[in-house]
Amino acid sequence: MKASRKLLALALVGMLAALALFVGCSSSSSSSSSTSGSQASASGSAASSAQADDSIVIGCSFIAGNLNPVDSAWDLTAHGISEGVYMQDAQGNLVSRFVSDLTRKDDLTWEAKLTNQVKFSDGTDCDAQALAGCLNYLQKNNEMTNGTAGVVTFTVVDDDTLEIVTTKPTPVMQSLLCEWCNVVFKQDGDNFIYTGPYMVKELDSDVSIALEPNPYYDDKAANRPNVLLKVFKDAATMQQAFQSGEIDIMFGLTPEVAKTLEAEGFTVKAFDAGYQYFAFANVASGPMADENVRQAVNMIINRDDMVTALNGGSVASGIFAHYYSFAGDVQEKTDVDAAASLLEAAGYTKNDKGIYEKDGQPLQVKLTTYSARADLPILMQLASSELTEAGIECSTEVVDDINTVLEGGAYDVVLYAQHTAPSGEPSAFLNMALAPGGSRNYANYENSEINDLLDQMGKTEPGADRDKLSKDIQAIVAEDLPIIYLVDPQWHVALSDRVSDYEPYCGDYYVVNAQLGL
Amino acid sequence: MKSKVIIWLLFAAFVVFLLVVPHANVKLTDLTSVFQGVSPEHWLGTDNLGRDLFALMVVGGQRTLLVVLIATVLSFVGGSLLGMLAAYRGGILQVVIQFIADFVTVVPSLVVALVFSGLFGFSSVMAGVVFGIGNMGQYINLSYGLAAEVKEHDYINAETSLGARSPRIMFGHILPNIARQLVVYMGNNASSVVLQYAGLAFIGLGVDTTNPDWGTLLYDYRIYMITNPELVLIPMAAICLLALFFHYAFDDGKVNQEELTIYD
Amino acid sequence: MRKALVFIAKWIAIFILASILVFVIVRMMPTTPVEKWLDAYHLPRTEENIAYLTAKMGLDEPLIVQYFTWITGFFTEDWGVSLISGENIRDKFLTKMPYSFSIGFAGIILGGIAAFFLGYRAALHRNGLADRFSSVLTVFAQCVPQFIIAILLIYALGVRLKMVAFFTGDGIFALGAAIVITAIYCAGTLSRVVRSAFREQMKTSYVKFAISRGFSKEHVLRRHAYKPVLSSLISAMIARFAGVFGGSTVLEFAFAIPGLSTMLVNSLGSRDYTVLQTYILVVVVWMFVVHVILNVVLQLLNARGDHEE
Repeated sequence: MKASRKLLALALVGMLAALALFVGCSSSSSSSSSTSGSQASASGSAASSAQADDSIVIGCSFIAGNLNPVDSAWDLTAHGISEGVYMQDAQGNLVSRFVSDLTRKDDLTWEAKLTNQVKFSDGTDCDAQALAGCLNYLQKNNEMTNGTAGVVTFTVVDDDTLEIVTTKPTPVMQSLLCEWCNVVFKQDGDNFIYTGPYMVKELDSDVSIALEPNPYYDDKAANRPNVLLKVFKDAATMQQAFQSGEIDIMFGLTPEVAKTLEAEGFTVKAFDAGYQYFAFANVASGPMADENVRQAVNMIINRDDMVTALNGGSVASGIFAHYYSFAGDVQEKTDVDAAASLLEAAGYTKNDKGIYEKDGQPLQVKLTTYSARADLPILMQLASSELTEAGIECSTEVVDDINTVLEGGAYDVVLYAQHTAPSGEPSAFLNMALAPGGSRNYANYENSEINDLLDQMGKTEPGADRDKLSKDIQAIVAEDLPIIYLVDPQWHVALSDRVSDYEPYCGDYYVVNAQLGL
Repeated sequence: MKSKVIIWLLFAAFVVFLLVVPHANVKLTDLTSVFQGVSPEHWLGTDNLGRDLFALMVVGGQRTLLVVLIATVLSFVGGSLLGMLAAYRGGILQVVIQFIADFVTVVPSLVVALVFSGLFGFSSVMAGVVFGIGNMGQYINLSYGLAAEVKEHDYINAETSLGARSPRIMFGHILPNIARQLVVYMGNNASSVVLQYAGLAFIGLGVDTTNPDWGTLLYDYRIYMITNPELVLIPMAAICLLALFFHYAFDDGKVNQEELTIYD
Repeated sequence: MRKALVFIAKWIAIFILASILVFVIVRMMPTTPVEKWLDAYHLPRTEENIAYLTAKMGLDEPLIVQYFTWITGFFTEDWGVSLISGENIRDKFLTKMPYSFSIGFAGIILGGIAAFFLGYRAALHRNGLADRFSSVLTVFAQCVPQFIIAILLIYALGVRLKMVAFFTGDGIFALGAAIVITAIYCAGTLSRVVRSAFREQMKTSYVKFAISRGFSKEHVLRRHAYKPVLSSLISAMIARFAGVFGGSTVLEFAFAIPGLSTMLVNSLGSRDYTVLQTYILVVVVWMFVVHVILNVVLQLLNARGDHEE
């Protein structure tokens, strides 16, 4: 017996020794290789530097793959590294640090007065030359910038003025300059230098980005701490990292996690997502082609329950977030009885199982959504429950690639989430979703009234008239229902004590904004 | 032997129970009664949306068993036959089969699952096929090893020299000799398919929480592990029971029968 | 000599076949990298967008050209760049490999060591505590997912006790925890291998003889019977090394370890063809290496065993 105990002890010691040995070896080899593999300039692993200084650690699900503005402009702006010429503020207004005044000279020509107050993070001035240079570079190297108005040319008139010439007329130059791909940068050899509140200290792709304040951003730069964006592929892990106090800001909380963390005494904030939750109805074929069925489904869905389940947000009043001036003012109401009479008017009767049927065929509606936006399956389950109870046979499916389903046309109702005004302007989305041939008009919906309004909108410059057009279109959609409005959501962010004042806005567009850490 | 019969009867009863037991509609949510404990209305309580966990377990159980059945039958039958063929025929066929065994083991199941879902749509049947193919390699290797040993026996050579046909030798002589071990191996590994299925959900495919199986429930509820552990423990217990059933139901007395040694 | 040539020719043929298969399978996945990229940024899949990105990613070239560029590059240590981020795939691999490999290797070796002692105790006392424990461990690995254990571990040590910082710092604890969990999960099955090998030995005449000469039972097993047992254990362990690639996905996710599996899943999500095909081909090569090592080790062990008898 004694011998066996000795053996057991030996085994234990052996295990520990082997563990120590392997951990030691692997960590030393991994840190050295990460230095050689990473593209950024600084040495040492990003994670270890995070502990040395007092960085704010942000947990996120993805980071930029590289620092090139053509590939990664979107992520870089979200990280607070790059800036668009125009950006949205928390109220959805378009503001610019570069341009003080934008005037339209004729159909295709605009004149921009420059502030000339912005510096790149290396301290050089972002003058008219630099601005025109980088924007023209993007027009040439990233065709995505040509989407709205064809190729746009930027010409320096004098130190304070740029002339902007578009190929196609557009009334919304500010929004064009707010599009994600139009970021301001300067190329310095292989490096790209930006103007945002933070600059990159080290990028370890797929792992983390270490940021330090851009000393030339404004006079508060010295007060900003360093920031580390760390990738977590699993939401449960990220939650645990937050609970252990290892990360300061956690985005992408599910409603349940938000409640749990709140109950544990953490600061959890809801902020307007800008994203909208809505449903595409297949008006081309299937049960939803019948307008009465669409109306009935629209009335059966209980949006208040959805808001309750999501633990935030509000019932959608249109297709845009409520803070935009062009948001709709539709009032959605749940009325199961009215839905029943609509279905009966459409020739459906309840069979003995309590399911509506017509000509012996039960009324079946298939709901489809995707899992990348965790709120959507929740909404889908609520909707399916309500439809089932109201007597509509309902099947559900969560798919990997929702856009292929939409393009294939084999759907009845698809629950979807999108930021509908990424450039602070309504016509882009409305055209995509409602105009004939629009890239998100999957069921080839067509309504001459809407087409007219869209045409007018294309000629109207931002202001009350344009907002009115947007509201009118949204009102027609609420009647005709090619799109069913669901929820104007709020997302949750969990904050540690040191950053409890931080107010993120605009969904996942500006994860790091200039107020972080101040 | 008697205990075997009892185990199988219990399992049959369980399957019948899963198929016929009346249960709530899994689609029905009720936000006013979320995270309810065990009660007469909800035998196993409710989840975060007020869905009835008992109903989810029953419906999920049907789907889980289907996936396990398809995957196991496919890899067992396909793997055993291919392995045997490789051992018996040898030569280029052996090389090819060995390559197949390695290749299906190497290609990540998520890749195969994606390819299949693109071609045929993703369903539980497809998931079963994907894991069936993915696990086939192990069965090929095992049956190859066993069959190669049997092939060396003198009586096989005798049969061959007497002019017996290949199928007769393979199915009449080799298969009976290796079947026992293969079946035991199958019993020990069948239930791992459930966790493989959950693993797919973990890395982002087939996370269809509206059409549950035990593995997906486990994955879906993992964030409540600390706050409402019963949501995790119930599917886990079900999977354990399944594993134990396979373990004992396919346990072969003859294979595991141990001669007592001088040590006992 | 001829044998060696045939052997090499066989493996070259297999390699070419595998590379073609991999190339095709990767492209058979639904949704192209271009579509994935557009979806990721909520951009419409217009014809212009798709055409522009397809050309930018180099996917407009004929497939045959793409294949040959890739496969010739693979041999000249130029594994190309990621379609999505433009990173050098080889560098990326070398950065990620230490994580996955240390989890896999250290986990299996640690598990093997534990399994040896557990299996020894299990064999010694049939149906004893150790015997039952090793059975339970085997079943446990089949019904309790690793992510549950990871969550509990992080909760206990990180969230509750605040003893360990798993996610910040140099990541040693995350790696250590992943290794230990891997070890626990392979110790069960491996200990059964050890147990049955020991019991085989117990039947042999030399063991009986040694005991009859008055040596203690434990002494005989530990001193004389361990060699064949070790050879079974080692071959079982080497077979597991084949799964070192991609075997640690769940643990890498749960502990936010940026290893190869995380890279694989990321690339799958974006359909990064170049990374995916290279990854799978590397695993095919790795499989080959494991086979060769396994054969060599088995031959060595057998030769030694024969020698001693």
